[in-house]
Amino acid sequence: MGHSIATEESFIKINATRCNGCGNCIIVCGGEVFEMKRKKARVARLENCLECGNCEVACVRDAITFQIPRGGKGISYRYG
Amino acid sequence: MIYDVVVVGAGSNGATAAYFLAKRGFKTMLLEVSREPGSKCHGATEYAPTTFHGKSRPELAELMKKVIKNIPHLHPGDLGRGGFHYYVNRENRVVFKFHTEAPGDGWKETYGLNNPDFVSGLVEESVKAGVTLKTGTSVVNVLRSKGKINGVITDRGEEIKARLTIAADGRISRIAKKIGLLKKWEATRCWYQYGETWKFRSEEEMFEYVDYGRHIFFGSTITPPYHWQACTLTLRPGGIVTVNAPTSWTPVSDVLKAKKNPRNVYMRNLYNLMEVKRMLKPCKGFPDRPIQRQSTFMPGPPLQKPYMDGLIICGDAGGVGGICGQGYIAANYVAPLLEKGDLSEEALAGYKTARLLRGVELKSEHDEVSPTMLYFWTRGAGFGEYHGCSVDEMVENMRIAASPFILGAPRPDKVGEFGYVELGSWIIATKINYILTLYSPFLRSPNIFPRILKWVQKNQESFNKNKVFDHPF
Repeated sequence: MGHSIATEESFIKINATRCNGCGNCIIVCGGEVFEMKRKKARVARLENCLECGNCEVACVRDAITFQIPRGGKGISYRYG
Repeated sequence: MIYDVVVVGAGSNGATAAYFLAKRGFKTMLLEVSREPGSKCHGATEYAPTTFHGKSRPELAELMKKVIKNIPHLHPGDLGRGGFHYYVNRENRVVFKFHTEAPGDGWKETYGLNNPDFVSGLVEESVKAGVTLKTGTSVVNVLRSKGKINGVITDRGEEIKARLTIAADGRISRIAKKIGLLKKWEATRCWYQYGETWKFRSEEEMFEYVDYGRHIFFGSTITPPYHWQACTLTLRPGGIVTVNAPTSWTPVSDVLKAKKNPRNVYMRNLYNLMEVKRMLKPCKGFPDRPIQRQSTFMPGPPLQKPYMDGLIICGDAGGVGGICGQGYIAANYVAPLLEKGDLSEEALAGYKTARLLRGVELKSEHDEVSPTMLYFWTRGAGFGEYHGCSVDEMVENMRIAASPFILGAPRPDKVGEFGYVELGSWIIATKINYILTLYSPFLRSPNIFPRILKWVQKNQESFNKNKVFDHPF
């Protein structure tokens, strides 16, 4: 089962000055991580992140930096 | 201590490369970002060591079988591939079959496995073979001296020196970006996959509900279209069901242009289908919360330059995917060079073509992810040869798999613009593509799909008359 371990800092960084509020990150995100606030995207539910990196690709202004969280943090899949 | 090789990323390709390099006597270090190897891998795959590698890479097939033997899987030949497909027959009735009734023996040695299980088993094997494994370590940069890359720096500031670095750090490769081989993934060339995983209370319960599942999903018996193109519902060990939405052939740019994510619409419609409801009802959390969501990129387009002085980029990181195969190719390519001690950019340049399956020459990056190239990829993988079927039969099979989409068989509605229609038309396009290879540049245009669809609908009557939808088995 997939579960998320809390991280001390966000591994998705949004450069607010670059963000133009296009909403691309919200469209592509499979985990509903982002939300729009005052026409700027922000990370609202980091614990939902599936670590696919779609957001970085979809961002037209290169405002999003995605980094796989450091060792032992972030999503961890286990079955059975 | 200077290692011969440092492999970044203990995924299926990274661990395989490390395994074979250690077997050949090189001092190998394997780095992994997660604490437990495999825990960043999600979902499940059909593992077919014999079909994929049996003839061309027996060594690799042996390794995979050794790993598979030690982990739980559904019994091969029974529900080994664990999926269903359906087709429309001459009377326009939908007929359902199991995957495993495919012609040929290849799928009898196919195992439905959860990826985390397989990868952790593979890493274990590589450690047994003499690889030094370091988990919980992410790489922040490479070490350079005199223009040559000679190791990596971890997030704890530790320097790991090695003669050769193999970056197998996955689809969103930080290393490729850091060293400048990759500027930005272009949204027009990025495909992604979305899926959900459900869990029955027990495996027995899953099998009780299998019959409901038969009515809904399909996948081709011979690839393509593989499960990442088609919606599939696949059964896994431990009562696990994975549902993959057919959004993977939609470039990210198209999703953005439409200002909506087709997978949301798709999943909502899917879970409203009575059969799906009946099948998934005994799953934990249905219909609100699957035990897992997964969203990922498909590999590709391949990096035009996957090498540098003292470094190669392997597997998904370099845009050429594959389970274990790419790692094996990389290990085999660099082993003689390591022995000779020549790891210059010129020596590693040959890796660019060596990583691709036989018979495919790269013209441009875009070529590689076009239907034409995918089609040749699968030929390269030896599917046709293995099953003893001709190219025509293979394409036919692909088309049959897509026919329910085109003919309007039961399906979640309103996803046509991205999912079904595009998929069906794509397969028809491949057929035409094969016949009229001259027109292949023309067929790559996205505008061709609606036109082909029209052609199919117009000729539907004659298809039925000509028994086109009779399934071969």
